[in-house]
Amino acid sequence: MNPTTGPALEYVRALPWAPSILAAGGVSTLAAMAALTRRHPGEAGLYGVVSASALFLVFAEIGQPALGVSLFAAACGLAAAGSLVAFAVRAVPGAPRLAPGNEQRVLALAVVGLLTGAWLVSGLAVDWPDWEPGVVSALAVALALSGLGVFGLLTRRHWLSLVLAGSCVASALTLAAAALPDGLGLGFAGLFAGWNLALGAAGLALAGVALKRGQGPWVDPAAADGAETLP
Amino acid sequence: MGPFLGPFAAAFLAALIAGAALGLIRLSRHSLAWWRRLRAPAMALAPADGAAPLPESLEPAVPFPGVQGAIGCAAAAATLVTVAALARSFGLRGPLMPPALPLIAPHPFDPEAFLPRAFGLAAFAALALAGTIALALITALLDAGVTRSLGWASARLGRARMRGAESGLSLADLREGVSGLWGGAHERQETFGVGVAFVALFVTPVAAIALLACAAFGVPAVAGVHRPLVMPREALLLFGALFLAVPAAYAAAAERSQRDEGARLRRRAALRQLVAAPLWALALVVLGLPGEGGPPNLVDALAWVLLAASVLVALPGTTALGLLLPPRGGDQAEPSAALRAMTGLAHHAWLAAWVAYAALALAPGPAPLTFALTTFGLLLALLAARALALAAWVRP
Repeated sequence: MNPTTGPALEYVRALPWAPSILAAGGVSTLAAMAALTRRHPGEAGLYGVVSASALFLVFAEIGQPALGVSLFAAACGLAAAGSLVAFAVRAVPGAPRLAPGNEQRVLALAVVGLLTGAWLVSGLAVDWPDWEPGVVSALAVALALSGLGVFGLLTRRHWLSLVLAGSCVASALTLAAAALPDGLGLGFAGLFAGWNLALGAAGLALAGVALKRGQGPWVDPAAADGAETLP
Repeated sequence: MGPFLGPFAAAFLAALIAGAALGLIRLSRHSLAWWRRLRAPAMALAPADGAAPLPESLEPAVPFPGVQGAIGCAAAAATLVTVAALARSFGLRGPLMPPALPLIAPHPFDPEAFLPRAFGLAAFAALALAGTIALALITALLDAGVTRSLGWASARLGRARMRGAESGLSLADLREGVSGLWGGAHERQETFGVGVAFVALFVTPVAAIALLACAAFGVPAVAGVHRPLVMPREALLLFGALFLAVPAAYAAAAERSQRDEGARLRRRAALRQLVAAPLWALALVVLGLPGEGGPPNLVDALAWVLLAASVLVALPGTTALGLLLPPRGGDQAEPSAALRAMTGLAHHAWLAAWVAYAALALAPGPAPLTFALTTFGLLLALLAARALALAAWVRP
């Protein structure tokens, strides 16, 4: 027996894809990746808004534009409030710039386990080639986004980046639930969308308290990116 | 899946509450040293262990707790939009939304149909950009005319003088900004993040005007889609969400600003826009309720007044006047002519977009002339209201 990846690639290539959803979802994932890797919360929030706007197109493609609007509004609120949190914390004197502990990494591992199990169990039980192109493509985008969000939860050190990563995971769950055929997951989609908003607000409030009390870094020094401080 | 929704909702709510509680407990437990330092004045001002002190220019005198109010306002506005969106999505209010047309391309994907559709969308985007700039210029001209007329009248009456009467968008700034963009030989004054923020600020009215055009004339490049000038309620949601991106852009620009004065003004603008956000979102939700089809009632009238007042306050622009006074656009404190031009264009384009939205909602019908006249009248009324709001009344 000669093991090869050919059959698997053929299987994936033969799946019913919707390129428009994959393109918009790819833009959304790339923008989310840029958001999670920015050092400054203001820029990260803006990239998050770009990601949410591309995600709105994905929701529109699967016939659920209202859910996309709700995620976009949550991303805008998160970006505005997150930037103001980062701005205001600069005014707190003497707060140490310590790296946070590993609690979030432990939490992220638990989330990774939960999500991997859920995806595997549900994914193996589905006859994917028989599904609609929109459903398959939207689920693929959701998988990429949730993977990116979990990666962010595992690797990010900035509190506000953790909030963004959590929002990324919640958006992916919303998309996955909304994409299920025959409106099976619409109730869950609404639940995840509301949870995304609540998660962002609670996360920002906690991040504000944490940053104020010196639990973790807030922004890197302005001179670190080569920008000059003007008088 | 229906029976599982309740337990799942309870589980997620419990997880959220537990996470917040655990976070607060952990933060309280680990921050005792911080509180001790804070109580000792001499130690509080000293840098912490091994930490470099913040540069002087980056330490604005901003009280921290004020930001929690901003978080609350942003969350309230986003919640209103989300609730309205979910209500529409699940048919809780009004009829269930019909399945939307795919915006990009129909499924299954047909490569032969993609190119015409892509060209159609690109042409529509270029038209939306050009239309936004044209609308902003026309609105700026009207603004200057109204301000000058009211200034002349108030000088004759001697009872009021205009504050902040400088033009919100000057041709000199536009010319200098365009030459700077094309020439590229300009000194770098801001960070990359500030540039991204102001580009995002300019993109929001372009998207809003494109949305209005889609709502009024149909989705482009879809053959045979022509609808009368009626604003569908679904478009309200995205329109409001786009307006919520304006404070995000200003907050990001403030956070990345390298100048104290610029950072302070941009933060004030973001706070002002966030304070007004729940008000216009509430007005939009009220106006989006399905009506009986009769004449506008008192609630609708109040919602329109609230919408007009809060939108004037939430428009793009910084101002050194009172926190809740409406800005005039074209941030005069910015040293860069391109930024002044960009903010002026965004301000007047958003003003035009809101007026066009109101005209679509108030004068629905297939008559473009009625729409144009209503838009013009509403714009003049709004500009006059703002000029009067900015007038400083003096005793004769």
